[in-house]
Amino acid sequence: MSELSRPRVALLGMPRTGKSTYLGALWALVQSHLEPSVSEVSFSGDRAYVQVLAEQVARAEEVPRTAIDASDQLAVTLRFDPGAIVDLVMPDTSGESLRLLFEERVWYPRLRSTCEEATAILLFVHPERVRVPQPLAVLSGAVGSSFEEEAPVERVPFYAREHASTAAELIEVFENVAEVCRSRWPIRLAVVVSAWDAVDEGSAPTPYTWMETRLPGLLSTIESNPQIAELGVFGVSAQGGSLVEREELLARGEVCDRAYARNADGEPVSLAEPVRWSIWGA
Amino acid sequence: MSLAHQFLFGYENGHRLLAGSRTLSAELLMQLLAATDATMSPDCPPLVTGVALPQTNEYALCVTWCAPELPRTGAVWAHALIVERSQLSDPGAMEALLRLPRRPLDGSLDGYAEPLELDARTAPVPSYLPVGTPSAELLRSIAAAAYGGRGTTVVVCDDLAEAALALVFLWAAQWPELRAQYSFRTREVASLESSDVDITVAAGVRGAVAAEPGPPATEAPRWLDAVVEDARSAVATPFGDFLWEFGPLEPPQPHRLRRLASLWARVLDGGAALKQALFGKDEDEWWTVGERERVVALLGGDRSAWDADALALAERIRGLSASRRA
Repeated sequence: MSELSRPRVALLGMPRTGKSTYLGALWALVQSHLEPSVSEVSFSGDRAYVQVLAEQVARAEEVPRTAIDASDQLAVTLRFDPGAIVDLVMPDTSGESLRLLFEERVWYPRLRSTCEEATAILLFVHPERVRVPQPLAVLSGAVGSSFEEEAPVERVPFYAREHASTAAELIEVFENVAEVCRSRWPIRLAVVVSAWDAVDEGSAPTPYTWMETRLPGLLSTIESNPQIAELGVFGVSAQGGSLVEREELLARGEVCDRAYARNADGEPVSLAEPVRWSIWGA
Repeated sequence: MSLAHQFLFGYENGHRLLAGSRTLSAELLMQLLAATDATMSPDCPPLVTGVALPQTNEYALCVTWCAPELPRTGAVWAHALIVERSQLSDPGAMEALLRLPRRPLDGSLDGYAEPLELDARTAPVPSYLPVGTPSAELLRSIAAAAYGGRGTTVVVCDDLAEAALALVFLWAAQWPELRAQYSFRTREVASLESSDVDITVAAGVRGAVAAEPGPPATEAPRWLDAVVEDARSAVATPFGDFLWEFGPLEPPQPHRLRRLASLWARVLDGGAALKQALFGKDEDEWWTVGERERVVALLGGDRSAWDADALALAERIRGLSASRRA
């Protein structure tokens, strides 16, 4: 397999959206004899990085943040059930480098090269860190007053780093990333809603309906441009639950026993499904 | 009084600039974010980074501390000091610069929004470096890798505190123009991918094999002895004076320091060795005039000053004649 035809699935997302945790859980899954959906055929490079991540996920610990100049990646040949073998590279990126793209309008070189070389993208979103657009009436503290009353004219400060909505950030990201991987349009782009366990309670929405509700602008932007990107939506719980209940998590067994994923319609799928989809599609 | 600009980086929904004494362009901000961010375990000593900022004709000295008190695992504090390159030639400013990096106390950002005076009399003792002098063995390993003796620019060393001290000692011993171009850092883990950093000392590496500290003393090149002795000395050494005199005549590149140090070793060997090093066959790198002009000058000089056999003058004349016929 030539280097160009080797799938490169880039993990993108703002800080603390679960990219490295997913990578660690995925590697724990690959290493587990109990998991039939995906297994290792051979490994190239240094496995210390993903091994440490996998061990941290296995211990239900918070995975440390990825430094901005880190060049870590998972390079491995995997066998996906029922027998498809793929030589895969998954570069991990820091959330800070993606934030620079939005806040400072500059490409961090390593992020740019990762996007340029990517054959597919997993874009991570943490459901508890989504900033939704807010009306001025709310931002200026006019909550509770009648909206029919004449509200006092106040200037509401706006700082991109504090106030920009997540949808605005990720639409900018989509536009810029799409531009640098133009030669591979339409590129597969999966929005991965991490910590899905935080959403997945009671009458839970499906990952797709969650996006419709929480990130409608991003959803419609991607769906309106099928010539640029083929959209997938997944919910993943790489730890299987909240780290606050660590003992309970550990009592549930190995990573493959507690980590789980949902497809766009909310049906259970393997945690490796976003990767499989990014390579072969539906 | 000279001033240093300061910038404090820390964790606020990611590693970011929290306070500073001036605004930064996006390009500089990106460079400093990369220079100050690092993977650190809770017991990792402070990491040092020196990086040239050619776009503004400045230099940044950065120190990064692990921040286990912050709510995000892997978060760090970092203090970056930016000075004009010309300030690196002032010994007093240099001493003050090395003393200025400080970790925030109790997370307070107070005192980071104003420029700092480069005054060694008022600057505190640096808290991020151990007291003392780095070992000659470690200095030798780092100098060998940094100045071109090894083929790798990553050195493995378990003691990152002493490594930081050694890097600072070696940097301070360089002539000012080289200091202003030279980049160095300590890291807990480093990749052996090609890097634009002149020297990295890491406790561990990812990838292939890095240089191990401590080359056998019997095999260490003699030029290293002069570099190490000068770096460890609290007072100016004859070799240091030599570097400051002739270094500015050289391009500010690390391997040029090795060449000057090699020449210094020849000086100690006596006149014949020095003449061989400067005027011998294939010693082209010192000269802006060609081989022909040098041979002609040697033939025209006082024959008693040269050993024509040692300088291979006959062979060189034949070579020049052959090349002219060709």
